[in-house]
Amino acid sequence: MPPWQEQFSKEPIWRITLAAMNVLAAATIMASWKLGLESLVRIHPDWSPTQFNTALTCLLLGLSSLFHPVSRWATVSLASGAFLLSLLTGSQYLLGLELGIDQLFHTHQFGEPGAAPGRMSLNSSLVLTALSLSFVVQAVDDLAWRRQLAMWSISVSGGFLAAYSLGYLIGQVSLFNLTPATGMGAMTLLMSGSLAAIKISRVIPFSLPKLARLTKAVLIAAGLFLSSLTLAVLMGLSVQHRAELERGAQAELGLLSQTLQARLNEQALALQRMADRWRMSSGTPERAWRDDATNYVTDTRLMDAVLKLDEAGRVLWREPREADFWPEGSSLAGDPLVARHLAEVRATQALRVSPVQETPDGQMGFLIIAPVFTNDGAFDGALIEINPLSQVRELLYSLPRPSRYPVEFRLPDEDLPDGSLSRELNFGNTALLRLVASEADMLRDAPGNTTSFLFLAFAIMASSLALFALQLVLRDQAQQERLRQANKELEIANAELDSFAYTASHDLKSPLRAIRQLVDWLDEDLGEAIPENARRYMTLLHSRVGRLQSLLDALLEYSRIGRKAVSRSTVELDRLVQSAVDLLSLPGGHVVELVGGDFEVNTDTNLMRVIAMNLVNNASKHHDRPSARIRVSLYQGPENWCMEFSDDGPGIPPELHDRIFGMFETVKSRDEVEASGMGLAIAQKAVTRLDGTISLISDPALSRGSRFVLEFPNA
Amino acid sequence: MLETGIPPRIVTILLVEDDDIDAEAVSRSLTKRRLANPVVRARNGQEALDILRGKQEGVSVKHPFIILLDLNMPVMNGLEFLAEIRSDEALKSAVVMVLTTSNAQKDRKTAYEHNIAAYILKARAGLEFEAAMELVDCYWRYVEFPE
Repeated sequence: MPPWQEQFSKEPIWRITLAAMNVLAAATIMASWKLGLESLVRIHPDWSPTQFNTALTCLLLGLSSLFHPVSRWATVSLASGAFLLSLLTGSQYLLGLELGIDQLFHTHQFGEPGAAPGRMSLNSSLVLTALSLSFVVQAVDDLAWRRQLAMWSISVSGGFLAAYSLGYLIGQVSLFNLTPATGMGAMTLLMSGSLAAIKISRVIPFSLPKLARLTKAVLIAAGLFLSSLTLAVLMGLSVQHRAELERGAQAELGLLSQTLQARLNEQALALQRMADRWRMSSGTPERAWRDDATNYVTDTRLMDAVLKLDEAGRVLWREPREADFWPEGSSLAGDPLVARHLAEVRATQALRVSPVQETPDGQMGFLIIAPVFTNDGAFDGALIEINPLSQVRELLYSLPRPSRYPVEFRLPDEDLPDGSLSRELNFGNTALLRLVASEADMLRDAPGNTTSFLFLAFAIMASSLALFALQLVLRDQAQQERLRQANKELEIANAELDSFAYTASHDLKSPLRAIRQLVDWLDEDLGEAIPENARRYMTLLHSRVGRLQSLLDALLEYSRIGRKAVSRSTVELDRLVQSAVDLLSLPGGHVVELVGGDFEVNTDTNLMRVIAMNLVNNASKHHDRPSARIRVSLYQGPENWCMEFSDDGPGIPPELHDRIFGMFETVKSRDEVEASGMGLAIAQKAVTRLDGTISLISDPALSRGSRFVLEFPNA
Repeated sequence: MLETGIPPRIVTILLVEDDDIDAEAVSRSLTKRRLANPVVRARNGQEALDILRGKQEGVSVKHPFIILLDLNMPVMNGLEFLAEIRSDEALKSAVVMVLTTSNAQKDRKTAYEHNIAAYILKARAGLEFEAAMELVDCYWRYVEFPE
């Protein structure tokens, strides 16, 4: 098999399948764009389509993933293409650039209203930039860094992906549409999600001990994941908050315009009523209708003046009478502002509102024209009301709920500045005015984004806790790992010590035995011929060899205590101690007395025997009189059980208490008392192995005898 | 057998022992007991195998023979030697007595698994060593050997 094929065959089948499906899906989407199959690129009519560039990026990453086991450089170069495409798109959004890459490969037949045609969504570009970066870092030669960088970039990508998937899961896709027009397509999410899964399985080990070895990198990765997740949710929340504020501002402006509209309608109705009244009250004295008109003008704030024209268009009267234009008696039949409307109301027999225009006094305003008919139905001129905009504006600010922000009037055909909200005022079919407010003004005093703030606070707390917990888990794991390692090393060291003790004892003992043998043979062969002195030397030689042998035996026993595992069983203490004492061969006058011990303990019988034998032996050996009483008291307390070994020997001076448990320590010279000096060291080591304590009470200055007190925990 | 001039029931002792003094001890106790068993000495398991298989020039072991085997030896130790002869058709029935300083339970168990006749500890003192030799002496006198 060629090497690349061998590498490829080692790759788990699911990774190959998933990557291949990605390539297939991306290719299908690209083909659908070319063929104009909208349903395939959009999946659901409400969702954003997967753009051509997005599919191309996923295709490149899918191929890069397929090539991963085979060629590092193919992986890197394919991923670099994807990285560039998504990064450049992202910078178009963030820096407001226009790089002309959106439709580079395909001219899009349809797009989202308000969005640049063919442009990958901001969400997708964020996810795909981080995702392709995790493939591109394959170019780094240092393995540790390559892995860390991949881990970190995939975590960022994973955080965004998690947020956007959440959007689809809770049915609030638009929550995460970072640009108002487009969000991440469902297919894009699926494709980048599966690519991320492949990458994650490559760079993040799913075993605690392995993660613990990378503690720092893992913590950074987790932090990045949580931060990008938080960032994505925050961006979503702020987009949503802004949209809500805009809706609120629109509603407020709507309410304002409706109030104003109602006032205008009332005004028009009032004029209509006046026109009706005029018909019925023809012949009323001038004084009476003039008063009527004056009241009307003064009561109605909108109006500047009201005029009565006769059927020929001549001003019959006007109120107020004093004016710079259209005085009483003048004819408006030829006036471009009036004549058209007069003809119109006469024809339609209905009230009419003129568009906003300049009135003869130079103000902007509009006219309301109501036709007047006589009782027999003949046209009797019209009532005209002049409403300047300045009056309308005043009305605006004297409403029961006046506007909280500056509102301007604009004509229906006028251009609006960017970032402004507007509402139209209509009268009948006539678009009269637009109420315009700047969005910035409206949102200036808007309530702050408390949801986002709360979420951020919550996310920071939760993330800190999660990271802290993760750190604890990893540290604990690392500690356990270290402990395991130390235990393994200790086991090896113990095994080495074991084999050392074994060989040392064998190798040292056999020449020793040979020396002894040779002395015996010399003794045998020389027989009586040996001089007295030489015989004495031989005896001394014999005894020193014997001493060396017992020292070696003691050393071996000492090391064996540490080596052998403690194996506990439940035994009757007095029987155990008695059996140990029975194994000793003590001098005739030495008596061992056993007191108490009629209870069971859970202990290692071998170690316990070693302890009892060594302590009794020690008491006997160092006794300075032919008859000795050694007393072993056994008793049990609530937490501990105790053994006391007391004797009536010479005792041990307090200044020596610290030393006697050391190895090869003897109180008297070995020529006086033949002892290895290991007995107490062995006993103490055995006591420690059984989690017990040993202490000595003795002071020859006060009284004879020593007392060794041993305590072991119950259980 | 007749060519050595030794009565047919006299058993040859193949002593596999690396320690000269232990070897000497065996010879001494044989002399002491006025026994004339021929003693062939090998210093390790490999040497003993070579002798048994007739690869060692000028040295051979006549039937019947008994092998006195030490365990701790260089080149090929006693347990390796046991394993080797027990898997050899020609040697698997040889009578082996282990004579060693090792009191390790593992050694004893393994040795008996290879069907040894006895496991004797070389004690510290020469006297006990002689007691062991007495056992060897009795053994070959009263035990019938395989052909």
